[in-house]
Amino acid sequence: MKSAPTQFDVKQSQGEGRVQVTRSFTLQSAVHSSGAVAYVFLLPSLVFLAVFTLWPIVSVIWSSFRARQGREQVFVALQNYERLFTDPIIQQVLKNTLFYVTAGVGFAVIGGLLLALLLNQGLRNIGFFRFPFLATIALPMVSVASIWLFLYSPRVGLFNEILAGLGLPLSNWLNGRELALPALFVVYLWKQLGYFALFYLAALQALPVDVLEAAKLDGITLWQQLRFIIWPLVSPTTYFVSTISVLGALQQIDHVFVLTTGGPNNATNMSLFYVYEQGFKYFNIGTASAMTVILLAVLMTMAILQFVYLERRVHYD
Amino acid sequence: MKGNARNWREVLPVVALAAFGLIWIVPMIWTLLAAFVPTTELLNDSPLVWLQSLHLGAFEDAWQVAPFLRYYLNTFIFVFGLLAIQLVTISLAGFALARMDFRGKDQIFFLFLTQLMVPASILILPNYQTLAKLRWLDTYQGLMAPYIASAFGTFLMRQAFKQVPKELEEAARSDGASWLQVLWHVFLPVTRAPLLAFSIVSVTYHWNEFLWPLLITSSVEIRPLTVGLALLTASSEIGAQWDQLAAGTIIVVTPIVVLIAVVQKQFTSSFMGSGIK
Repeated sequence: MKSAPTQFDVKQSQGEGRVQVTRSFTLQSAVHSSGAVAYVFLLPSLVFLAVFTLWPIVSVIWSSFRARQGREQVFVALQNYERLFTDPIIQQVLKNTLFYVTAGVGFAVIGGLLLALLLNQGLRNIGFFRFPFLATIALPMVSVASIWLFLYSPRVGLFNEILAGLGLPLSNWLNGRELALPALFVVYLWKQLGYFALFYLAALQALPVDVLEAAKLDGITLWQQLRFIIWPLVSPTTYFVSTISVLGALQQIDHVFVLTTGGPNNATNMSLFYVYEQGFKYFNIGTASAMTVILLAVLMTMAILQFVYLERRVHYD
Repeated sequence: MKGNARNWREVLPVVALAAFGLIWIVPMIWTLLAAFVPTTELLNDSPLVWLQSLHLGAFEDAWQVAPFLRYYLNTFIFVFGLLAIQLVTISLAGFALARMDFRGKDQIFFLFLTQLMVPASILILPNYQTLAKLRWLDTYQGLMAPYIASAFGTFLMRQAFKQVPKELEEAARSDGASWLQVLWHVFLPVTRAPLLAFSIVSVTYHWNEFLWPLLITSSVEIRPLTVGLALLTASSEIGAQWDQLAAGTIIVVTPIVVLIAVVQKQFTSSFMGSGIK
């Protein structure tokens, strides 16, 4: 009973589409004869978009309400989400993730701007100075992590060599509970700081020269120039850099893999690594899915905020 | 030399930049040394001895421990095969969204937007399950599948196509050219810059990709360089074959470093565009 009218509707609308196409051909208008062709052009993208972006979002939300019971996956409502607030390991994971996100934004903005200011002082051979910072952006994170694994190595690493040379006690770096997460963060920063600096560099180069010249003539200090002229003028870039650094920090996993595999004792376990560990190592699909959904929610909120912000800027400009 | 105050103002930023640069350069140099100087000498002897004992032994070892040549080939097939497919999908989709009228355009636009908000790395779990059902695990098409539709590329091309003057399109259409011919002969020749920008971002991103290939590849014939290097790292940690690891790292990164040295300017602007992603 129910399916018959639906089929009819579909047929009818398809028919209408065909009628439209024919009509526009008779009008000899190039623009309007494109309907059917447009779908053909979009089809390859839409198929893969549906299977590998849209379907997984639906599927992971569905899985997040289920959990393994014996061999079966059964519906457990919000149980997986409740665990996010009670499980001490998840608490640790969320804490580590929060550290990465907040420290990431702070260093991306302050470090990125500082590096950009230094690169923007009109030195000759700036390409030469810029190269190391560009190189780390392009290097695979796995290779970067391998390099740093060597630097942090307790027995043959550069850092302990330096400490020994200075007569200081050696450190365990990645194997110590206290230092492991900051040590990991340094690696992330080393790879990504140049990327954030690039955006500030572009913003600085777009600053109105006459404003800066006038400020110089007024004899204000470097700090005043930075605080009252440059900082307000680059605020759109600051907003943008903050956003992409949060998105980036949430997705960090490669160097965790190579350097610590989340240890010692979960001291460096964070968002995406936890998803991997639960999903692919312990086969707790429900827990991994719930964490994925949380990440999705955060990322989508961030993206929407960014769109709203850009929209507003476009109107004012 | 001149006034002290002025000296200070001019010298400090240069010193600061040099310090920054040093922090970035030292790990790279240490890796080079580790690959070319035997580990015992690197730790116990002076730089003068290092220069005398430069050798390529670590590279030979690394080359033998891991099939890097095969990994290179795999990465090439994955990265450039994917790029070829992407250039087709983003050109077609970008063209449709930029120059054609059809029903449901806004809705389709929104679907692409979703991908811009949700990075593929977040969806590893459900995508792995899909791949298992399709029996695409440990295949090249499995490696490429989540990236074949690219919202970033599609929007980039849409933007570029929108700027092409309408007269060019109409002239070609009135000569009886099909849409595909218009796209190929009129639009693509004038949008080489965005195509190149997309290519640089795509190649760098997938050359460096680790997690997804790690999860879905299991054989030497498919496994890309990054995963191969991580396997070598895991074994080096145990056996402390640091020189091999350093050599392996250099083998993996050399093409990328050469690439950015050659196209530094283009690389910079391309990557800034990718920030929108």
